[in-house]
Amino acid sequence: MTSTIERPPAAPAAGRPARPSRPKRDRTSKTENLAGLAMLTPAVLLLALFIFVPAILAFGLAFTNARLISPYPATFVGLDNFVRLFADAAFFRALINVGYFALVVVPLQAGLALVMAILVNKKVRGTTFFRTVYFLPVVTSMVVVSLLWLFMYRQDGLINVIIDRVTFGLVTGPDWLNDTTTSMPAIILMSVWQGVGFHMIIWLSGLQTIPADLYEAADLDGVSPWQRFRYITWPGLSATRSLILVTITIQALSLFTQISVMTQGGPLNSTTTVVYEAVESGFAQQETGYASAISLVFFVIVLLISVVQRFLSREKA
Amino acid sequence: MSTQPALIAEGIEATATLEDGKARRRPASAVRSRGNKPSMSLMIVLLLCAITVVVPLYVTVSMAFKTQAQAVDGNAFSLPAPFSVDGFVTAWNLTNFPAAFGVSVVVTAGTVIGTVLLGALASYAISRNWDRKLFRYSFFYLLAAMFIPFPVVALPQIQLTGLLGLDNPVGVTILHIMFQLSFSILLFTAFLRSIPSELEESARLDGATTWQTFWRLIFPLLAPMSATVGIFAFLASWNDFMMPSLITSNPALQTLPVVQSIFQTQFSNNYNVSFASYLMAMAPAIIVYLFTQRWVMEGVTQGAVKG
Repeated sequence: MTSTIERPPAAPAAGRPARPSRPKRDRTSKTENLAGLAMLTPAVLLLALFIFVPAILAFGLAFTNARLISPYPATFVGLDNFVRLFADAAFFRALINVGYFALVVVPLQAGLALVMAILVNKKVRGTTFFRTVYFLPVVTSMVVVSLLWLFMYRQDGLINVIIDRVTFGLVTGPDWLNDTTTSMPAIILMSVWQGVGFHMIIWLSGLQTIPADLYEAADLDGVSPWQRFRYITWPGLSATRSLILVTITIQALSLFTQISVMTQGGPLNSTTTVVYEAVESGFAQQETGYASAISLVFFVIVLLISVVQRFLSREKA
Repeated sequence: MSTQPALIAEGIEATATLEDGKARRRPASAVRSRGNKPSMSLMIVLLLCAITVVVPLYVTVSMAFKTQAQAVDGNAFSLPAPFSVDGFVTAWNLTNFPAAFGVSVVVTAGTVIGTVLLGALASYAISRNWDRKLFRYSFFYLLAAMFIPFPVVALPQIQLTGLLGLDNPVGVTILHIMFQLSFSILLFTAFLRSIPSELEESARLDGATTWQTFWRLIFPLLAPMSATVGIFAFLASWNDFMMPSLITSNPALQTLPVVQSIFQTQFSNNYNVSFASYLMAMAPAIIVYLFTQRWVMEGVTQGAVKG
C-alpha cells in the first residue's frame, strides 16, 4: 500500500500528455470544479460525521467517568481511567493475548495465502475448483464458522475423533477450548482457516500485475524456481504485500467475534482480547469512560504498529 | 466447478480488453505453465488443503439433514438415513429466519451499492484533480479512516446513532459503507490511473459534461474494479457480527449472524437443529458465490492493486 499512497494515483503519472490547460476554458472549468466537489463532498462529510467525530468523542470520553445509562452527567476525571487500566491484570492479559495472536496469525496467514496463491495461479488441472473451495470459508460468516468449530473442538468433537482415528487411538486430543494452553492456538487455527482464502485472492490479484515477459525472459535464462520467486515475484508484489500486511494486522489486533462466540475470554482470561475487554466493560459493566480508555490505548497500538510497518516496508522498497 | 468455466473465463479475459492495449498485460500464469507438468506433490498439497475445507462443510450438511436421534449417535461422518428436514423446520421457526435474512439482504445490498457509488465518485474527483491541494489532501484524509477500526469508535458510535435515530439496520448500512470507503477509494484511484485521459478528452471535445463523462464513460470502464469493491463490501457486510450486534437496538431487526449467535444456546444438544440453522445462514452466500465465482475471481484479479 505504501507505494500506492506515495505515487499520485491520477493523471500526472509519467508519460501522460499534458491535459488541456484550465484558464482557456473558463466557463467549463468552473462547472467542472463544482462537479468535482459535488462528487467528493458526500464521502468526506459522511466520513467526518461517522468516523472522525466519534473518534474524537471516544478520546474525550476516555478522560471522564461516563456510564452507558446514568442519571448523573459525566465528569472529567483526568487520567483515572488509565491509572486503573494499567493496574488491571485482565487488560495486560488481553494485550499479551492479542500480541500472541497477531504475531502468529499475520505471518502464518499471509505466508500460507501466498503459497496457495502461487500454487493456484499455476494452470494445474482443477485450478478453478481449488480457488472456489479455498474461498468457501471466506463467504461463511465468522459467527457460523465459530459455532461450527465450537462443535469440532469439543472433547468428543470432530477434531479429536480424527486425531484418535489417525493415531489408532494412541493420542487423545485435548479439550481444546477449555484448556488454557490450547485455547489460543485453537482460535488461531480457526481464524487462519477462515481468513486465508481472502488473502489468497488478494495475492492472486497482485500476481496478475507482474508482466508475463519478465517470466519469459527468466525462462530463457534458465533460472531456478526459487530465483524466479525471489527476483521477479517477490519484488513485483511489493504494493500487494504492504496492503495485505496492514489489513491482516489490523484485523488480528481487532480480534473479537471468535472470542465472543466461542470462549468469552476464558478459560482464565487465556483468550481475552483488548477489544473484548472494551466491549465487556462498555456493555456488561456499562462503564463507557473506562471502555473508551481501552479503545484509546487500542487505537494508539494500531497506529504505532501501522507506522512501524510502513517504515519497514519503505526501507526495503 | 469443472474446467469448463475456466476455459470460458480465459476466453473472456482474452477478448475483454480496455480500449488501450498497454493497460492490459497477458496474465503471467499463461506463460509460467509452459512445460510445467503438474507434479504429484503439488496436487497432494492442494487436495489436503481442500479437504480441510470440505470435511467441515460435509459434516454440516449431513448433520443438518439427520434426525435428532441420528445426530447424537456419535458418528459425525455417516450419511443421514433417512433424510429429515425437521431440523430446518425447527430452526426456521426458532430463529425467525425470514426476518433476519431479509434484514441481512437489505443491509448488504445497501452497503454494496453505497460503497461502489460513493467510492467511485470520490475517487474519480480525486484522481482527475490530483493537481489541486484540496483533492490531494482529501485523499489522505479518506485513507486515514483505514487506521481507525470500528472497535475504537464503537462506544460513541452507539450514542451517536441512537441520537440520530439510526440505531437500526439503516445506521448499520451507513456504518458498513463508512468502514469500507477507505479501502475502496484506494482500489478505485489505483485503477483510474490505468484509464487513459485521452478517452475523456475526446468525450469532452464532443461536449460531454463532467457528470456525463463519469456516468457514460468512466463508470462502465470501472466495472471490474466496482465488482471487486462490491465483493469486498458484500463479504464485510454480510459476515459482520460486531457492528450490528452493538448498533441495532431492536433484536427483531438483527442481521443473520447476530441472530445465529443469540439463538445458539437454545439449540442445546439438538445438533440437527443447530447445524440446519448454520447451513441456512451459510447457504445463501455460498450459493450466490458458486454461481458467480467466475466473475468474483475475474473481478478481483482484474481489479488488481497496481504498484
